[in-house]
Amino acid sequence: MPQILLQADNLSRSYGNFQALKPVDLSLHPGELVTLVGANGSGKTTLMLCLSGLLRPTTGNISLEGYDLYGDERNARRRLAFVPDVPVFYPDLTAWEHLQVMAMAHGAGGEFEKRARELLGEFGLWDARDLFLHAYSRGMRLKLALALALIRPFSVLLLDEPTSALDVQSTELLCQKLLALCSADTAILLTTHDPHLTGQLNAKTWSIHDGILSTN
Amino acid sequence: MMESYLPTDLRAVWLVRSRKLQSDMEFWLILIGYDKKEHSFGSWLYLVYVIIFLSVWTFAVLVLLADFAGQILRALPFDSPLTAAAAIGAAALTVVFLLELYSAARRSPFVFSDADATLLCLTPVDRRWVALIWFLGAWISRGIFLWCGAIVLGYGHLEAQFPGELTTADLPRYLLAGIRMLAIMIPLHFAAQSAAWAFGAWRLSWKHDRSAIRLLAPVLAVLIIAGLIFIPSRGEAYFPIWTWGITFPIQAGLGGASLPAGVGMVLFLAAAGVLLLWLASERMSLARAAQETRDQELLQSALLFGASDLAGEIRQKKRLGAERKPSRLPIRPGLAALLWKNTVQGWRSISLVQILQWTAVPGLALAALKMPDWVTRVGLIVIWIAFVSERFATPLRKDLSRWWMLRQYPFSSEQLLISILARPLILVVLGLLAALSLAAMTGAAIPPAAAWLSIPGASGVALATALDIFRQCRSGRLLEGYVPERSVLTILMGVVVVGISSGAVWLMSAVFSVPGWVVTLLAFGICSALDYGLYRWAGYLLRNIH
Repeated sequence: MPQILLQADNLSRSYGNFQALKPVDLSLHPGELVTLVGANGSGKTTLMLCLSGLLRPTTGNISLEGYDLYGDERNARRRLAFVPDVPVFYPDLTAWEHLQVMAMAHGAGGEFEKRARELLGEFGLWDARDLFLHAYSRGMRLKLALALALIRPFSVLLLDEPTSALDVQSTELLCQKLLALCSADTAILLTTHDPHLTGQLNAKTWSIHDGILSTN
Repeated sequence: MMESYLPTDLRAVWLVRSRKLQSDMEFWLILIGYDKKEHSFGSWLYLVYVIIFLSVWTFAVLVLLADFAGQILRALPFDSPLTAAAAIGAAALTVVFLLELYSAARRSPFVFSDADATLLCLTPVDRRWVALIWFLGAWISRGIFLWCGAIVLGYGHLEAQFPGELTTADLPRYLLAGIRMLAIMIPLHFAAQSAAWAFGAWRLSWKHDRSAIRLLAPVLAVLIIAGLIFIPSRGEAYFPIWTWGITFPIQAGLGGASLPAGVGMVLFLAAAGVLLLWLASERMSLARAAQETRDQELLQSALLFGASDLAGEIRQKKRLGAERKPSRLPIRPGLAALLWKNTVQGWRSISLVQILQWTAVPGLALAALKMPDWVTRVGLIVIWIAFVSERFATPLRKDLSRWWMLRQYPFSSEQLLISILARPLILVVLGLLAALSLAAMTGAAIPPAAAWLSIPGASGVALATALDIFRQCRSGRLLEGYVPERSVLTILMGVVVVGISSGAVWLMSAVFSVPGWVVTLLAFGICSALDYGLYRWAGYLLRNIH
C-alpha cells in the first residue's frame, strides 16, 4: 500500500448550527492529483481551509505523512503548501521580499536566488519583483501566491481556485507545473469551476454538494 | 418647486454631494444616540437637548480656556492685549492658509470617492458647480478649530482687559465677544480657504503638473516673514499697512476698531475668494482630482469610522510608494527569517507619530519613577501598560491579519510568538532601562532589582497582550482580515504581572529586610515563572484558534 501524504478522519466544520462540511474521511497519496468540484457555497473552500490548517475543524484529525497538523505543527507544516483564491500580502514587503521570507523560513536558502529568478520569470513577475503588492493586479497577486508555494519544499499542495484570475498562458504554465509536481510524487488537491482545467490535468475528481464530499 | 429653478448642473452635483454629507451627518447622529428613523416627539426633543447640551458644554470649555488665554495675552511682548490677540489671530489664519495652499499644490483639495469619480468625473457637468459645492461641504469641518480659537481669543482679550473682575453676570459680554470674533473669523477663513482651493482648481486645469509649484507656500511664508522684518509699520499703527487686510478686521472683532467696517471688509474678501474659485475651476480636471484623492477619501472614511488599521495601511502605502529595492539587512534561514521580516517591517513603519509613541515608553516610565506619591505612580504605571501593550499589539495584529501566510511558516505557535514580539520587546526593555538610568542620574532611589525586572516585566505585558488578542480570535474572521483589538484584560493581566513582581520586591526589601541580591533573584524568578505560564498559555491559544 502506498504511503499516505495527507489524511483526514471524521473531518467536519460547523458555523453555529449550520454544518458547512459534513463528517468526511479522505486521503491523498504520492503523485495523486485531485480536482474538487462543487457549486458555490457547497463547502469546497471550507474543506480546503480545514485541510490547510487555516480553519480549525469542528471534529476530526488531519495528518501529513503521519504528523498531526495541530499536535506536531512544525513537522506537519513543513510538508504542506496552500494557495488561497484571494491572497492578502504584507503591505510593507515587496514581492521579492515575500519570496525571500517564505523560502528562508522553510530553510530553502541555498538556491533561493536562482529558484526565485526562475519562478518570477516563468510567471512574468520578474520586472515587478521590487514592487509593493498594492501595485499588483489580482492576477499578479495570485501568481505570486503560487510562486510562494512553489519556492519551498512540500509534499502536499492545496490550491483554492488557482486559475480564477489567471490568463491563458499562466493557466497553461500552472498545469505544466502541477503535472511535473505530480510526477515528482507530490499530492495535489485543487478546487475549480473550470471543466477545461480538469480535462487538461486528467485528474481524479471529487465532488462536494451541501457539505457532503463524494470521493468516488 | 424651488429646486426646479436651480441650474441642472447644480442639482446633479448637489445630488451626488448631498449623499456624502448625509452619510456623514447620520454618522454623527448615531454617535450621539439619535435614531433618525424614530419620528416621535421624544426623539426630536432628545436631539434638541443634545444640541443645547453640547453648545453649553463647548461654551463652558471655551470660557475656561479664556482665563489662560488672557494671561498669555498680557504676558506677550506687544503694546497691548488687543494687538497681541490680533497678531495671534492673524498668524493662525496665515498658517492655516499657507498649509491649505501647500496641500492644494501637492494634491487636489477636492476629495472624490470611487462612487463620486464614476458619477461625476466622467460627465460633462459644469466644473464650477462641483468646485463650489465641494468647497462648501468641506469648509466648515476645516475651519471649526480656527473658529473656536477665535472665540477663545475674544474671551481671552476680555479677560486681559478686566483681569479677575469678570463674574457670571458678565456672561452676555462673553457671548458678545465670541459673536464679534466669529462674525470676522468665519468670513476671513472662508476667504482664505477659497483662495487656496482656487489655486488647487487652477493647478488641476493644467495639462502637466509642475513640481516647482509646491514651493509657492514656503516662498510665501519666507516673503511674509521678510516683510514683517523689513517693512515695519509707520506712524501710530502697530501693524504694517500691508497686513491690514487681516489685522484690521481682527482688531474690529476684538473691539479695537469699527465692527461694521471690519465685517464689510471680510465679506468683500470672502466674495473675492469665492469669485476666484468660480473662475479658476472652469477647466479643472475632475478625473485627475479623483486620481489624486481616492486614497485620501478612503483614509478620511477609515478615520471617521475608527478603522485605524486600514488608515494606518493607507498612510504607510503612501509613504512607501510603489517600489523599493530589497532590504540590505542580511537574512538567515529558519526562525531568523521571521525576525528579519519583522525588523524590516518595523523599520519601514517609522514615522514621526511612531517615534513620538516610542519616546513615550521611557517618558511615561520616567514620570512614574519620579512621582513622589504612590497613587499617581500607580496611575502612571497603568497608563504605561496600556501604552506599551499597543506597541506589542500592532505587529501581532498585522501578522494575524495575514493568517494564511502566518499559518504556512514551519514553526510552532510559541516560536511564532517569539518572532513577532522580540523586536518590540527589545525596544521596550531598552526604553525602560533608559528611564531607570535617567531616574537614577536625577536622584531617584532605584533598587537594583528594578533593572533586572524590566525584562520579565515588559515580557509579561507583551504576553498578556498576545493572550488577550488570541483568546478573542476566530479563524473565520482572521481569514477575512479582521483581528480583534486588545480589551481591558490586557491591562488587568499586565497590572497583575507588574504588581506581583513589584510587590515581591517591596515585601522582601521593606518588610523582611532580605539582602538586595536575594530580592532581585526571587522577584526575577517569580516574574519569569509568571511569564512562562503566560507564554505557554498564549502559544496554546494561538495553536487552537477556532
